[in-house]
Amino acid sequence: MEQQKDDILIEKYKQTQDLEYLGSLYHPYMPLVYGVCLKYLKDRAQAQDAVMDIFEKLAVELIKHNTPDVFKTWLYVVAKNFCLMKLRHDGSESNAFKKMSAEIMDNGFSVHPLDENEAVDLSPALKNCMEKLKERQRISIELFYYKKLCYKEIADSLNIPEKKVKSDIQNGKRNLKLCLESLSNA
Amino acid sequence: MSKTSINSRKNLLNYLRNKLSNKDRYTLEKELTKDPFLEDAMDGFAQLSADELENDLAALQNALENKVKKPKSRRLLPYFKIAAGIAIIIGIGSLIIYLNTSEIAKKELAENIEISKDSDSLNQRMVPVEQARRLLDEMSEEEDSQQIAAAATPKTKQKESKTIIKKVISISEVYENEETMLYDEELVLVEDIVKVSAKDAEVGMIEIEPIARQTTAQPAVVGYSTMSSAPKIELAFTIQGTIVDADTKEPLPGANIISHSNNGTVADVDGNFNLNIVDDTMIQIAYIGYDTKKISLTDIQQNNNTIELEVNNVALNEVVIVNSRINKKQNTKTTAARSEASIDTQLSGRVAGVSVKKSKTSKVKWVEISYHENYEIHCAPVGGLRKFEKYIKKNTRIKPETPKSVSLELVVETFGLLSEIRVTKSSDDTLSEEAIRLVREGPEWEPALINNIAKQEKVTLSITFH
Repeated sequence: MEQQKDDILIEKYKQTQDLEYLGSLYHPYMPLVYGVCLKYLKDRAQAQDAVMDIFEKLAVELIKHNTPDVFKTWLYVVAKNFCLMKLRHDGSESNAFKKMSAEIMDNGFSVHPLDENEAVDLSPALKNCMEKLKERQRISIELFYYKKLCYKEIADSLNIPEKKVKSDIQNGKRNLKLCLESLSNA
Repeated sequence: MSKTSINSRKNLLNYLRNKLSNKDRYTLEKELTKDPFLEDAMDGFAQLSADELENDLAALQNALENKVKKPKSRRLLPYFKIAAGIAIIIGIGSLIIYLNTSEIAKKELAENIEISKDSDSLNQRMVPVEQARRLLDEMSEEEDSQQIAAAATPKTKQKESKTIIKKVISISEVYENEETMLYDEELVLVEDIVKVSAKDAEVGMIEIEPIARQTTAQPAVVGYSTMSSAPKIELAFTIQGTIVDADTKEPLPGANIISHSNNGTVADVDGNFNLNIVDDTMIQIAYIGYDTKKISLTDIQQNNNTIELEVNNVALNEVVIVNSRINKKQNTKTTAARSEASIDTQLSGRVAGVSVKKSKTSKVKWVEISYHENYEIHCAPVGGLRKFEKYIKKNTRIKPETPKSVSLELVVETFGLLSEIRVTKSSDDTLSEEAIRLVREGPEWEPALINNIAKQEKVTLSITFH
């Protein structure tokens, strides 16, 4: 539904080149873009400039190329690339750049098995790997995915900071992924 | 909760402010796992406090609205563009008009240049550049002093006229460069240096009062100017005339008529010619077979413009072509090698039209050549038969007690090569071989000649060994 709205707006913009349409399109995603820019550029002012720059970039790119299939995903990619380029431009060997490229490499675009479905079904392999996890990671994952507790709740119950919960879940997921891969390769 | 609301500002902010219920929190967090975009953004948000974030988002919203609104102001832009364009056009137009008015003044000056160029006078004073410039400076000084005295309005006009003078001088400078090659002094095409008085009303109407009537560049006549860039020089005289043979009075087409080393012409089919000359110099007329004649203009005119050339007494020889060959051994021409031969043979080939019938044999004591053909000049060994005999006497390895002869048939080719040596008569085989050897290793032969063209000839050579 949202996608439809987006597509309509894009079409209208392409036809009329009226920035108002583009503005309407961009508006809901702006916080997300800002967040991403914040994450990678680390600087508030720079991130804000980046948000506007990305808007201008959209104005050009949407007209140049075909309408993207899913605007949101496409926007995300554009924003990330923009930040990457900016980091590279500012100082290619800077840490921020390295970190960012590393992260992008890490995340990839594949969805973790745990996140694929709403209802998490435990395939045998997954079960197997879950057992191999570190205690805390396993617990956090179980609480989150199966008990459907929010980070806060998990943090409270385990008496660990929320950030720790997040990182545990992330690391746990990564380990599961590796384990599953090794199983499938074997 | 719909997706939009999950992603909404409000929701995010509430989450960050811990204002959401656990369930809602979980929903958002679950969403994070699915939406990397959101996840990244949330990571970024973690850097700021919720309030900071709120402010920033508000600021961004304003910025976006401003950007989006711009088109409205941009709509005005085209009007600005049009206005700017019109202003430029007006600016250019006025510039063109200004230039045109000064162009007219220039043109008038140029016309005056043309007129003065056509003037025919020779020997006019030529003004060196420095002088001209000095004159100009003097003039401008004059003007300056006048300017101070004069009223306001003429001032601008004088300035303009000054620029015109400068333009004029620049033309002359260009001209200068073209002419530097030929002339003694650098000349200035001083188109009548303009005396501009304060009285002059308009720019376009400058009275040209020549201060120095040093006009068109008249070159010192060093030589005939062949430069195309130089102005055409009117020369003093043009001679017209006809060249004829003194005896027969026939015209001599192609005769050369020269006045200077680089000024000349050629008589046409009827012997007529036109020649431009500068002054009363001598003119030289030359024609092959005739005596070269030097004549002055006045003489030509006195003789009804006809110039007669005397036939040259040194008659040309008839041309006789004789085949001559450089003797490889002696490296000398062998045309004289026929001294052995009789007067007949000497004559033939030396005087055109004389050909002599040859006798059929050529003989010395021990060697004889018999000819079969009726050639003008027969082939023969170089140096003559006598020399050939000497050679044989010197080189023979066999000396029989009683004289014995060997007859050989030889074919002498056009280059003098012996293509065939054949024994026709011999009493002794060893003698035959010796004879052949001697002939082969002996002097070269000269070929027979018919009408001075080499010809192959077959002869019989008989050698008597003794």
